[in-house]
Amino acid sequence: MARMKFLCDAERCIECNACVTACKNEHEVPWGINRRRVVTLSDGKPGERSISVACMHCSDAPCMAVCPVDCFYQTSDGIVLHSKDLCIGCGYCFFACPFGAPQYPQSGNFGSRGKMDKCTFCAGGPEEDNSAEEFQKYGRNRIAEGKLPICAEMCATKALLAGDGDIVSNIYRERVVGRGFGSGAWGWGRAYPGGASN
Amino acid sequence: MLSQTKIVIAILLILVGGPTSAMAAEKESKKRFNLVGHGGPIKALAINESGTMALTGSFDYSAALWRLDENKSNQLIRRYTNHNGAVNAVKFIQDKKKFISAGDDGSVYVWDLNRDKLIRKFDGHKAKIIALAVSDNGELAASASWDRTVRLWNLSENRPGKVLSGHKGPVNAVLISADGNFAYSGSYDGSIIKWDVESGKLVRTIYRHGWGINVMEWLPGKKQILFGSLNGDVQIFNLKTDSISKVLIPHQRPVLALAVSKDDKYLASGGGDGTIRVWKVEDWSVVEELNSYFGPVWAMDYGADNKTIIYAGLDDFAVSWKVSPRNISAEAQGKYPRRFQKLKNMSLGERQFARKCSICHTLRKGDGNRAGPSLFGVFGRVAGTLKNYKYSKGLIESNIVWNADTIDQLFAIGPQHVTPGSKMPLQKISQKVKRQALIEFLKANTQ
Repeated sequence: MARMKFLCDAERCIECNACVTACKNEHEVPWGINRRRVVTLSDGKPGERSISVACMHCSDAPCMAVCPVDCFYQTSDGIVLHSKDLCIGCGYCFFACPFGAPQYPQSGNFGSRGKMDKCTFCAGGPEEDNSAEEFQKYGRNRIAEGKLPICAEMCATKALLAGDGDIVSNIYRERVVGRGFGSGAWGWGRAYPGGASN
Repeated sequence: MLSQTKIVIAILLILVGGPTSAMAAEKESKKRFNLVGHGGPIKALAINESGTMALTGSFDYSAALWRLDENKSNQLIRRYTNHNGAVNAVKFIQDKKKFISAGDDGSVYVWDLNRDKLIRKFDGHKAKIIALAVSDNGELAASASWDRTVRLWNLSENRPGKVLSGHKGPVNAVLISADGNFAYSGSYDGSIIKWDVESGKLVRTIYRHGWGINVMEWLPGKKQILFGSLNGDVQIFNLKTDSISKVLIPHQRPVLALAVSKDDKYLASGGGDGTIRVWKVEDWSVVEELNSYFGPVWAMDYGADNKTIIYAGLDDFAVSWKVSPRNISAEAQGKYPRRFQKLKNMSLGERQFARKCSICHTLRKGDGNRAGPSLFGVFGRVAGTLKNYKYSKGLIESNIVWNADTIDQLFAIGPQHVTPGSKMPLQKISQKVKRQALIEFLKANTQ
């Protein structure tokens, strides 16, 4: 079974935000929530670079370790998903995530706690694949349709790669060899410590 | 009789979280100077300037006041249970006369410590409050919220102040300048913004870090801002030079807590990976590092001796760490699972309780200071009638009797339909087999 992973090659990201827009459009993500965003470092200064960031579906996901109600689960291909039925909006995963992936609506029914929302790797949630309920809660399940995440598909420079971790890392390795330098895969080691197959 | 009681307690501990988790956590909590008394993870902690008192805020919907004593042990004085959600921030006002607390319910509570009563509750935020700041003269407070705003509160005139809008993401941190004329806020949007307190206007974005700002503290003199970010950075922004003046060694996980010693000589940073680093301000050398703790460090502050740090996270207790001279034997040795993390050797029903309910409820008689009431004797009980638990209006006015059918309904369609207006989080268990297993477990273990 392939281990699904994201890789953002910061040497290629041009901060066009197509990934952000494609994600919002595909999943009809409500206002105020961006499952994917582009972070610009050293903005306006020498060495400026941009990185497209969302849930990296970490091997040893820190969000899962702090959730007090067990709402996270990891699929057989390594995608970290969660149940909005169980989530109580405590926000603990927000503080645990080194990528700032968990998002919260600005108001919820319970006090101010809304259900957490995040990137699903376009793999939906615990509901029946491609059901109306799944779409309403988690967005489209492209993985069940045999497709890869829309953000990577829409990336014009192919800075953002998604898919089988071994294939993704091989593509990046070839790029590094080709251009003679490479330190652009920000977050890869943090999300998947121990190598590509983890 | 005593041994029988012990056996009963042991059985109940096993039911709630398994012998390993409950006993190891209890053993860990009993260390002499730890703050023990909350019924949920602790998100906020503050020690007053004189080092005689501490405040904590917890998932158990309460703030707590503690008496600190270097020679004896630290004691719980009182829990403040007016909140309608988890408490995420606490601050003393004028050392030990008053304090403010705020959290998931979006309200700011102002308490009088001398008269031991709530003075004022300020409403206005549309999402949870994560951080608070108080001016040096105690006349102004600021609250940072995930509704993307900072709100100011005039404490001397007991009225709301300006609303500071301009961030493009949740606001996680706020500070007030030494003269009380400016506020500084740090946000998930990666920026630190300077605000004019009088007009409420955005003066300018003083720094763009890119990664979200999680926490900020003043360095001595209030001319430099120490901040920690979600990518693990710990940096210092100098307001005079308008630039980053120091980049400290980053953490591997998000930085969630910062503390400056009372003598201004040391500062500490705490990360999501449980690491605490102690830095000497004079030369920025790392003088100590704690790695043995596991789980995030969400809050911490320095004691009066400037050699002790009390820190808090996922556990129901705050830990007193002797930084110097370091006492290794008093530090946590190895991992122990929390009650809501136990996974192995559980029946389906027990697992449902442990992983979905035990963070807020206990099966024991008495509420255990949890966010929700004890489930002991729940079958046949009229909702909202357990003594010593502060119910919401919705539950008090409800006439539901808890039984297998109503509990099944509660999780099938959710508390918002079965007990509207209650403090219970919106939570459903969609699979009938899991609901039935939970009900059977509760039937067997709540009598």
